[in-house]
Amino acid sequence: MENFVAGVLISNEPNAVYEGSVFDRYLKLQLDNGGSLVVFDPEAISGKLVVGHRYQIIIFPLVLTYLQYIEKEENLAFKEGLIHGKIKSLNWMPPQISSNIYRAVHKGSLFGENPFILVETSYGAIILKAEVVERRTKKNLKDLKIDGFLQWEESRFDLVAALDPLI
Amino acid sequence: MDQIQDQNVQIAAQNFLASMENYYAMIGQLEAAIASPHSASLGPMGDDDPCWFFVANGDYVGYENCVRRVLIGRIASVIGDASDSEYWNQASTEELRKILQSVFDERKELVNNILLLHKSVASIRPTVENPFFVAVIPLGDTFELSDILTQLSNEIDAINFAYLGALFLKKLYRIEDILKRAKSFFEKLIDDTHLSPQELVLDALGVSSEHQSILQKLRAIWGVTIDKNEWRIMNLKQLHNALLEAEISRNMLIYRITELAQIANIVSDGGFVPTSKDDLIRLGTYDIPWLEAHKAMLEQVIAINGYPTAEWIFGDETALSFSLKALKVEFEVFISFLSILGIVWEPADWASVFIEWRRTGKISGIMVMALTPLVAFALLKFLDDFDRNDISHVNDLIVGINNPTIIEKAADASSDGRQLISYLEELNTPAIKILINNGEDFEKIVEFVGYRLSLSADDVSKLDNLLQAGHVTKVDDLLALSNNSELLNWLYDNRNDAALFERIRQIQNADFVSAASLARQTRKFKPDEVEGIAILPDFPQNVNFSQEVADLSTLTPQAQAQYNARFNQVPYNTVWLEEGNPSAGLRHILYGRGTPESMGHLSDFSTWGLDTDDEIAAYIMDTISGKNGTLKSVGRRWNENARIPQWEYNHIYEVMINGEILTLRVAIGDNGFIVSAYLVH
Repeated sequence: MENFVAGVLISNEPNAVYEGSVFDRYLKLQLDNGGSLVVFDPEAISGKLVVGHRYQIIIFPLVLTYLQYIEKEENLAFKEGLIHGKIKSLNWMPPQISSNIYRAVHKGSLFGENPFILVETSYGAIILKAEVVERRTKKNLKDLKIDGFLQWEESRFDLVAALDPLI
Repeated sequence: MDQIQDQNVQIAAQNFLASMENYYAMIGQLEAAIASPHSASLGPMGDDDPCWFFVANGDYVGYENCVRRVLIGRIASVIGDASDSEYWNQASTEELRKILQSVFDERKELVNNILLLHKSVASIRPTVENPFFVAVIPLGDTFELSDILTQLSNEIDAINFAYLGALFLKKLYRIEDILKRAKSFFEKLIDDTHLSPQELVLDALGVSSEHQSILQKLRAIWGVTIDKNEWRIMNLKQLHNALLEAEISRNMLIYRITELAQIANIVSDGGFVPTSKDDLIRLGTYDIPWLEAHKAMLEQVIAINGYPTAEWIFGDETALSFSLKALKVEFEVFISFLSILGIVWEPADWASVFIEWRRTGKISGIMVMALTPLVAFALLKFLDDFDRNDISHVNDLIVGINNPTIIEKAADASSDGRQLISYLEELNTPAIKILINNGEDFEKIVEFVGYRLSLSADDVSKLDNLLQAGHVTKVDDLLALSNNSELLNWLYDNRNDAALFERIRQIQNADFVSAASLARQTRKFKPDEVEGIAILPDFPQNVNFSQEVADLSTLTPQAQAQYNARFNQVPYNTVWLEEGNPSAGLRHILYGRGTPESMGHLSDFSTWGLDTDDEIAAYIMDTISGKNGTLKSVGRRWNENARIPQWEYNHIYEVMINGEILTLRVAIGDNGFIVSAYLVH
């Protein structure tokens, strides 16, 4: 199993709320590596996740500007505001919905037709939509290599699913 | 017609310029020939040589003389006047060349100015800022009524109608001077001179006092107050002759009328009592009652027509009676026609205008007309199918406004005629007059009137009611409302709810129909915080729905009812964006809750180049209105944990910006309130 971002949920707050109805949420996790991470939950699927519990989460970044494919690690830029991930899969598919590992999931985002690229970051494994990577890097998937790197400007992380912490 | 006139003027001017260029080319040939050391001895070199003409006429006296003759001929031709030829004969060849160059340049500039002027005048139209305008139909030429009407359809200010007047004179040899003087005098008018426009035009045209004196006599003889067209283009000698002929003609007429009166006196005095029809015929009359009636009718005919014709004096009673009746009808119709069009004549002598019309079939002279846009519209409509050879058609239209029978007749004669009557009727209704008085754009009013004619009487009544109550005041709003009978009915049903209409009016950032649609959909909006309203286009027919269905077994009966009621429909067709608060609305979209976790989406929008609140609000609303991209799907989710269990909606729009396709997600409450909007992948 992939080593997704994992940590203890330390806050789970409604964000957009109208007439008592919660449209989206923000989560904050205390990561296993000691850091913390804020995640936006556009579908408000995380309402039942309990603060204080540990979860693995599947997230992808909202990349609106800079995203670059860098084949060799020595060519990575190490500047504040930049995030990079090592490519682990160029055709990642999510675990079956029937596997009962999901504590929360947005099926529409996770089980669409488009494949994902799985990258290992300092937070843990995250996914990026392959079409977004192709569009931003202006490269075809076949030009990207496993163990190559993707680097982008720090941006919002959107929650797609929360998994059973024990897996 | 405008176009044809334009073309004619353009073609004439282009031909003129071409001929000038040709003249100049010929002069150039001559100069080249003179410059040649062999030309003087060789003489003209064939038919193409301008000097060949003199050779052919046996009048060739050398090249230099030939050149001078050609130059003088060209100068006279350009000026249109050879009266200075003696002076030119004294001038040197070089001076002649300069004169020709000068007059040619002057004329070329003049023609170009005329073309420019014609173009600019043709482009002027009535505007709502200047709903009234005044036009002077110029002196010195004759025009068909339709020509005049065409010109009146243009809006003309003081300076422009002076130019226009001069343009119409079409006398190029005078026009430059007239233009200067007319412009000068009308500039005085702008400076609030005490002179009337007519006086200014007369002054500008430089009509002499002797001219005026003869014209005055001619007017007196013919019993008219407006000069006949032919008089205006006569020189002094021709005017004298015209006066002489008129005096002879009038004297003969007076003699015949006197003779007739004597016959009548004889009969009435009993000096001669005709006993048979032959006696009456011999007397040139028919019987005593007839004669009295004849005299009375004759007086009326003269009053209307200005002068009697021989046929009327010596014709029989039936013909005279018919003529009188026809004249009266024609006069009334004519006056009605002008009245309806709102034309004000100066001098306000209807009879003389009619006499002019009767005699010449044309209207000319100075007419000062104050026109409203309504009139301009009516004129234009008339022009579409106006045939001045068939005045009965116009009569039908005018008289028919108050006459159902004739309306039918007009409708039979012309569908346009019927339509015009309808338009005029509509334009005269109290409700439409409100729009006109409000200074609404007249073309839009006309558009609305046209649309209104296709509405049911019930809808028209409702629209008028809302307009007269002051609930709807703009023609755009009425037009939009005409297309939305559900909203119209709802507004009409609530017409007495002053608070409702006050709330609608308070919404500043949306048009009336959008605001009213929102008010119809929900009362939960804050009028002074509304940032924008959008009516969803073609929704939801072309949208793919994704929905997360609730487990009905877990719902309360009330929640189940709510769930089922909204399951198969989107409960709103209007969405709105409010300033809102940290949890929902524009403030939330931009700045979130203001916590480190929830900072809002402003920075994301900035990457698209949208930096200000207004830009972002407008972009969101435009997107929802279908202007920025395509609605790809609508997701809905049953939220049973809400205070009142309800559906939540998310619109996913594919938008293109800076050449890049992106996705905008808009979260909407089930009453149409825009809760949030942000970018997603």
